[in-house]
Amino acid sequence: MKIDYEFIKEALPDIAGYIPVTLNLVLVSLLISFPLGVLFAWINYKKVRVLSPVVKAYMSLIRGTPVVLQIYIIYNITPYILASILEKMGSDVNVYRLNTIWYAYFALSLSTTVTIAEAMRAGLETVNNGQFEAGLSIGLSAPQTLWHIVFPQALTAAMPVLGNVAVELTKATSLAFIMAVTEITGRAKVLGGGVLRYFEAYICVFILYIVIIAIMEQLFKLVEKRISIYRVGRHGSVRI
Amino acid sequence: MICEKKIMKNSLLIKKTLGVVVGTVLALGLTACGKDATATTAPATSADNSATESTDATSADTAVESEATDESSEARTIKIVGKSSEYPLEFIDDNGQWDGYEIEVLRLIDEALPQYDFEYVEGNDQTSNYTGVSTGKYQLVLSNAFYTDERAQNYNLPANQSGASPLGLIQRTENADITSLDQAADAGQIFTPSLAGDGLTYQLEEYNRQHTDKQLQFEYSDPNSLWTDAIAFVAEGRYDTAIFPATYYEQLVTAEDGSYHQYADKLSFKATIPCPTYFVIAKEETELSDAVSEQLGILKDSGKLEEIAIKWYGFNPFDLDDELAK
Amino acid sequence: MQKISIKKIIYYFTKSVPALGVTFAYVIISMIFGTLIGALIYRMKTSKYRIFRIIASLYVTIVRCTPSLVMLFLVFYGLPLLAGGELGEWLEELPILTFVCITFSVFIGASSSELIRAALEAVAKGQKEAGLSVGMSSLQTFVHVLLPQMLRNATPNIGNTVILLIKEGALAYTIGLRDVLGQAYYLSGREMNAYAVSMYIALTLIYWPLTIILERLFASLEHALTPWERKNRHKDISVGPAVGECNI
Repeated sequence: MKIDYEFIKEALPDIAGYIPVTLNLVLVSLLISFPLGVLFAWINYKKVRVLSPVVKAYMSLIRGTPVVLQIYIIYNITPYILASILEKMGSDVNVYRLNTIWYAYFALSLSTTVTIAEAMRAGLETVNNGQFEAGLSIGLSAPQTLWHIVFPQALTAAMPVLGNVAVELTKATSLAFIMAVTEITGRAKVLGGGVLRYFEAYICVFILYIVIIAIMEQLFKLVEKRISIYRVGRHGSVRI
Repeated sequence: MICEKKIMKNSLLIKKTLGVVVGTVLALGLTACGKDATATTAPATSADNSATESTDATSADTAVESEATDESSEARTIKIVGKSSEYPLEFIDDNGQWDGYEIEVLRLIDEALPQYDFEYVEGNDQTSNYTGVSTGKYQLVLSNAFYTDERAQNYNLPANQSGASPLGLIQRTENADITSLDQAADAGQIFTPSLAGDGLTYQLEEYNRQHTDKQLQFEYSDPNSLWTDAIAFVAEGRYDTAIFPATYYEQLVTAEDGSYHQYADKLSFKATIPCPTYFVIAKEETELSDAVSEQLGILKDSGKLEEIAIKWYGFNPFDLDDELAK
Repeated sequence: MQKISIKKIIYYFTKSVPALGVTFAYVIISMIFGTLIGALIYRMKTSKYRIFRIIASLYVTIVRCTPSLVMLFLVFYGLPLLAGGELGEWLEELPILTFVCITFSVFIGASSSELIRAALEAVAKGQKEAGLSVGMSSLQTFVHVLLPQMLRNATPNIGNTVILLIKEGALAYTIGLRDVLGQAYYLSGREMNAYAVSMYIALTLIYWPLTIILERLFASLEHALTPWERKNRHKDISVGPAVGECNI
């Protein structure tokens, strides 16, 4: 077999046209999972009664199963559960007409929430307890201390890991096609399937992911640099 | 720790991206150079055309030639890739043996062709099976394949069919009167997600190409279980309709012990589209393709194909196909 | 929705569990070769020649940026193609497991090069000097002083990588590997996926406990490798197993 360069040349811009879908998946999933992840981290860090074991069980379950399996389960089961709930509530909303991208957001957020929660908890642990006390002693309220003092430091410490989470999430979006969301991998399969040039299509995907993620990493590096002013002095060498 | 991102500490983004692109291009270039020079200079399409022409013109000669040359040498191993769980088409049974309609047909062909030795390989993704045939990893792919222009251009489809797989639409009983693609398009029905590059999908794509004024509505998707999911998807109301092979519908839904018989009351199905199926053979294997095609012709004429089909499907899809074609 | 059948869950569970052998095979092989590649890449990264450093960085970047599914595909089909000729033909004859091992070794090669660097850096410089100052050779210092500490530091990450690999292997079903998920899908496909939901539950019941057991195992291993006086120290900088998770 010879590699069909013509195909790559024609398909690459076409597939690149679906980068917005991939980025959309990444951004929305991050938006969903970041607050949840921080919340879970806080619950675990503070060992909140009842909630902490629940969160831990959830995290363990998600950590313990392959993402593909999670995707299959969500895609195949949620619509039916939703439909029966809505039916009971007497709503006539047709869940089956729901854009499948919502299942993708949901499925991708499941595991991203867990990795963010883990990163943030590790970040919280790097913040010395004294910081919290110091905040309170100068008259800040507990939420204020949390927001202005503890959180920025934890975030800074967790930043490199969060960058990684984003990279992993981007790679995981390649599985969204299982849920009928046509992102770059999906488009490549459609194009490659049309003329049965799957290998070339995959080379296009390969190139695109490298470019997207390389740019993303540079962005995260910039962000990391900017927020490094929050870095805790004493723990300057903290590795995450 | 691994998560620290200190890759390429000092280099700039542009440098990095450029490096990657150049690296990839170099790698691709090397691949091309590794292949024979004639191939790289000739544009793919023209090469395809000429190959097809020569097949038509000299098929009889090559078949004779191949037998002559192969008598002196040992039997050549032909790698055949198929999914391991496509019951009743091809599957691996509990004893680890391949079985099914297409396998049984191929065994007969294998017996008739001493110059080849068929070996079956498990591959569970249609995408990767087809890729394997185009990269030369396998010589033949089993997928109950329908004729598509793309397949004919990129692979060798033996002139004679390997089977028949008449198609129809799965409908909920209230829509039972919608049996053709045309009616489905008029009714604005939404089809279950389709596998990219699949024969079933091709039927829908082809319809849309020919009818620019009214289009069938469908999305693409990926999982292997997609086409069996379609039964439940339609029955549960998640989608309106699905295009489906009659051979499978009979045995999955209609049959008392079918895996999806629970939906039998909710669904209706009528075969309306005739569809011969083919073995898909690698582009450069014209000799193999001709030899297989010749044997398929013999098996079809002797009624053997129909016999095997009835054994696996419970009815004769060839007859139904012929009927629909009229 | 499909009915969930306890009988089917048990069927899929018992029939798929034996395929863990395949899973462990590729995990162990990939860990070994991946670490070797990682050591080589680390060596190249710290080389005084710029070209080696560039190659190493390029390798890590490309691998990091590629989804496993894409990499599996490229290795499985691209490698024989790229090699071409007799080598290519020989490669094509190899069982699927080999390509899965190659793919994951490539991945681990990238992540473990970072791991090795981090583990080395974490061992304070003073340790090496101390070793040398008491008259050990630099090899002795490495084996007796640095290596045990490196191993301890790396244990959580090794654990994470193993768990991640077990899960990633699920994707290799697409090229025909029959690991746990592959085996379950095969069985389900033969029944036309009529009991897919029961199959998913069975898979969850295999993967989840397995991961928990492995997590515990590596945690106690880390504990065992930690000298007693350090166990009581305030846990300052060591960040739990969570962190390595995101990368393989």
